[in-house]
Formats: sequence, structure tokens, C-alpha cells
Amino acid sequence: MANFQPGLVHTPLTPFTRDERIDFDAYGKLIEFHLRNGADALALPMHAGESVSLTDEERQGLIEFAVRQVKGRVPVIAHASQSGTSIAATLARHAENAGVAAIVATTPYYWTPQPAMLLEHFAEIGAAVRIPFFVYNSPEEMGGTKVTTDLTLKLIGKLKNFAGVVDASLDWQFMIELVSGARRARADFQFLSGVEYMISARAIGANGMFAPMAGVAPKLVRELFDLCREERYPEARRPQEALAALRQAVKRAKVAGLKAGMRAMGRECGAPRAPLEGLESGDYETLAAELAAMPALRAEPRGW
Amino acid sequence: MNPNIRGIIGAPPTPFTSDNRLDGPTFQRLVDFLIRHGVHGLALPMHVGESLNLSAEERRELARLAVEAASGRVPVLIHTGLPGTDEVVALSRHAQSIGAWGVVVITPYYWQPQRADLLDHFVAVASALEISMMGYNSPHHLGVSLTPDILKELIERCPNFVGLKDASFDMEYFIEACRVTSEARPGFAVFTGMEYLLTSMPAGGAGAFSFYGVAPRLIKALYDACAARDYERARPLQYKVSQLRNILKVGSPATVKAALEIMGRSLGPTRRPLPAVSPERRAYIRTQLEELDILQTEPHGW
Repeated sequence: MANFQPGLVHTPLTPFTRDERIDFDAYGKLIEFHLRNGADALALPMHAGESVSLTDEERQGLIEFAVRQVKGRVPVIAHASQSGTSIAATLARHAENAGVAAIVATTPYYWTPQPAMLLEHFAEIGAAVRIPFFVYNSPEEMGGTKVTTDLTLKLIGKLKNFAGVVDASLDWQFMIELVSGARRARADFQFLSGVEYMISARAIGANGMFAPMAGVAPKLVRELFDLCREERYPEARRPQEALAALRQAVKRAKVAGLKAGMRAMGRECGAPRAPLEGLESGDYETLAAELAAMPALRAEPRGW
Repeated sequence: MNPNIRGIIGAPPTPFTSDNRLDGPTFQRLVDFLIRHGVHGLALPMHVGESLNLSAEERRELARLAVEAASGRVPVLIHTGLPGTDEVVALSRHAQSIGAWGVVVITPYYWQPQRADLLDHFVAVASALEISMMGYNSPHHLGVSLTPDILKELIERCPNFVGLKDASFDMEYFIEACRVTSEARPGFAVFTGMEYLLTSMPAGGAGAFSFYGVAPRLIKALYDACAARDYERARPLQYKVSQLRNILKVGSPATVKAALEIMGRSLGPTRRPLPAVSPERRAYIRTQLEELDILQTEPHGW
């Protein structure tokens, strides 16, 4: 089980219709697009997929749909984060029954729990399933709540199916301490970059990457990942810096920025659900022009 | 002016006598030790050199001693950061007058200036000099950041703005800084604050500032592995260097001085308000240095 290595993980957006229902037609097309364009695995619905704006039933429906659509061509990782431990564990159990390959969960929303509670939260979600369980660390998004090296070591001791950490901390000190400490405790501990900053993460020892921008620029993402896997960093700098520039352009508007990027590339996924707003029309044109001016995006596929 | 500075920039602590005066002879010995053990440049007094506990007169004296001891073997950068722009200009001009290669300038202490004022500060210093200037980004301590667009504008306005020391340890910032500066001025050197060579050099970093004197062989080996792109060899070395950093982090620079003393290179006390290292902590540091094999494999004494 610990041998499951997700590799390059695409994290599809969730397309909505004009009346804010999940647009399953577009979702099917989107999944096919990701599979044709370099995904080793899919993780869904991540924050980029507006998981927090979906009901539990919708999340379950999305996961069932994705598993049916993918038909085993790549592993599907289900995102089971919730504030309440037992709600998250229920989501994880449902996903396992639906046929996903692994579970990923963040620290609980809102509560900013103490370390002992955090350990209990993750231990209960992990114990609810038998498939590999990844923990997602994103302190900036989660009110400062962090996955620490100490917590990771305790999870290694407690959960046989604990597979590793997906990290979006961007923090070198933490990443080095985590990887060196956790791999001493368990040699096959996995460390995945949670964002498309792969050079430093790979140099430290990352063996995978979650790519929220893969829907916009799948070729660049694949190129960065492959060059980093072979540690060809001088060549990796070009796609790395191109993706960094793309991230700076889309991140100002977060999910709306990603969805606008998809529209600009000819892959309409609708607007985000409330309370997130789509871009005002002037802002959309500005972003689209910015993307059009990026030479690195010229080789990217247009349309579905 | 050679704008291409790369590698390990040694940041020596400042030695004091037992009655807390600047210990010039020991300082020059330390400078010589660092150069003999392979630093590519020196920068001082950084915070680890207690810059903020030195008078302006002492900083001038230290600069003079460093340039004299280095005697042209490696470039010497003088850290001239202070809250007031005029004071920074005066210290920087002094550094130029005694033959320093360049200056390092941190964002002004305390004031948290707005973007335009931050730019004015650095432009005023750079344009008062013919030697090189390096910026120093320390957002966690000073509450302001030399954002990539500020770096770009500084490059456009200051021909002698040649590098950056970044102490954010933030991957996103570092990549942006490399991307923007390498486009605006090829050869511009982005250094990481302390010893994060494995994470920064593959991304385009020029090297690192380092409290090199504790374990020069280890840090040199890490740099050499990164420079040779031998990352399999570099990884365990970086893990070890990071462990060393963690051991010394709380209570630095007194802990760094304690470690140096254990290695046979005593630099005396730190100045108030920095706390002294307790005997228990000293014993802990010693045990850790032994566990990391540093005590056994690194040079002892001068």
C-alpha cells in the first residue's frame, strides 16, 4: 500500500452552470482533458475545486462521477477535509467505497486546534479507511494551523496507511526538517509539493506534486515535473519561472482567477459559486491579455 | 567593480574581550580562519555579528580590520543597515573609503516604510557609492519586503545594485526574486539568508550567507555538492546543516559563539540584552555537535 506513488497530480476545478449547479457535462470533458494532458493521478475536489462550497452529498456525487468517468485509467485521490472529525471520516469512508485510490485531508477549518486534537482528527480520518492517507499542509489558508514534524512522526507511529504529507507551506526550514525527520522514521514516507514550486521541493526530496494550474497549463506543469524528477534544474528553471509568473497572474483572484484562466484557454468552467465572485468583465480582459502575452503559454492546448 | 559575486559569504560573529570591548586581534584571526577554510566572500557585521550592539565608531573599526585582514583574498561586504538613511550613507561611504568590495543594506529598522520611501532609501545609498550594493530582505523581522517589483525598479535606477540577501526562506518569494532580477540584470546574485543551499541553488540562487566558522568542512562540502549538481550527495549534507541550524537557532548569536568556543575558537561573550548561554545549554550544544560528528571531523582551534 505504501508503494502507491501519486506522481504528478492534477486537481480539477468544479464547473458550474449559470444557476450554480454542478455542470457534469463539463466535468466529464474536464476529466478527459486532464487524462489526455499528463495527469498521473487526479485529486478532487480540492480547494481549487471549491470543495468548501459543495454540500457533502455533492462531494460524494462528484467523487462517484469521477471514478466512473476515469474507469481505472489513473488513480483518483478524494479530498475529505471537513471541520468535524467524524464528518471528514464519513467522507473518507464513502470515497473508499466508491473506489478511490487514496484520501487527502487538511487540518480542520476554523477551529485552529491544539496539537493533541489535530493528531486525533487525522488519526480518526486515517483509521476510517484502509487505502493510503495523505495529510495536506497549508498553514496560510488554514488560519495558521500547521502540520508539524512532531505531528507527522506521531501519525507515522499510529497509522499504517499514513502515506505522507502534501505541503503548500512554501517554507524551506519546515520542508527540510519534515523530510529528513520523517524519512528517518519511515524510509518510504512521501513528500509532495502542494503547489507548482517543484525545484526546491524536489531538491529536498519531494516525490510528487499537486498542480492546481494543470488545467490552464498542463504542458508546462508536466515539463517542470519531469525535469525536476530527473533533477535537471538548469532546464527546469524556464518552466518553473513561467509557472511562477502564471501563478502571480491568476492568484490575485484565487479560484475566480483559475476559472478565468480556463476560459481564456478555451475551456469554459463557468463562474465560482457564491460567496466567491467571478471576475468583472474588465478584470477578465486584463487577465486574458496578460496570459496571451506569456510566450510560455503558446504551446499549451486550446479548447477541450 | 566585479558584479559577479557567488558562493558562501561568511558572516562572522564579533569577538569581545571579557570586559566587552571589541577584540580586534581575535576578529582578524577569525577573518583569516574563514578565508583559509574556503569562504568566497565575507559580510559583516551581520546580525550574527551583533551589528545592532555596536556603535557607529565600532562598526567603522570592524570594517577596517576586516578589509585589512582579508587583504584582497576575497571580496568584503560591509553591512551598513540602520534606521536612518543619512547614517547608512555615511557608514557606506566609509566602507568605500577603506576599500570594501561593497555594502549590504537591510530595509530600515522599525519604520516599516511605504514602497516609495523604501525605494528612496536604497536609491540614496546606492547613488552615494561607486562600489556595489546588495539589498537585504528580512520581512519577518522588519515587517516590510523588498518585493520583486521594488527589486526591478532598483535595478533600473541603480547600476551598482548587484545582489540580494533574502531571509524570507519563502519559496514563492525566492523564485519570483530570481525570475524578475535575472530578466532585469543577468548576473544579479540572489543569496539565501543562511545555508539553504540545496533549496536555493537549483532554483537560480547564487549561494548563501553562513555562520561558517562552526563547521566549515560540512558547509563547504554542501556547497561543493550543490555547485557540482550532485544532489544525492547534497541532500544528507543539507539535512545535517539544517539540524545544526536548529540547534543554534534559539539564542543566536550567543549559541553560535558557544559552539565556536567548543570548537576551540573562543570569541568571548555577547553584549546585552542578548542572553548568555547557560551551562546546561552549552553541554547540550556540545552533545549535539558530537552527535552530528562535527566535533570529531571539523577543525579544532585556529
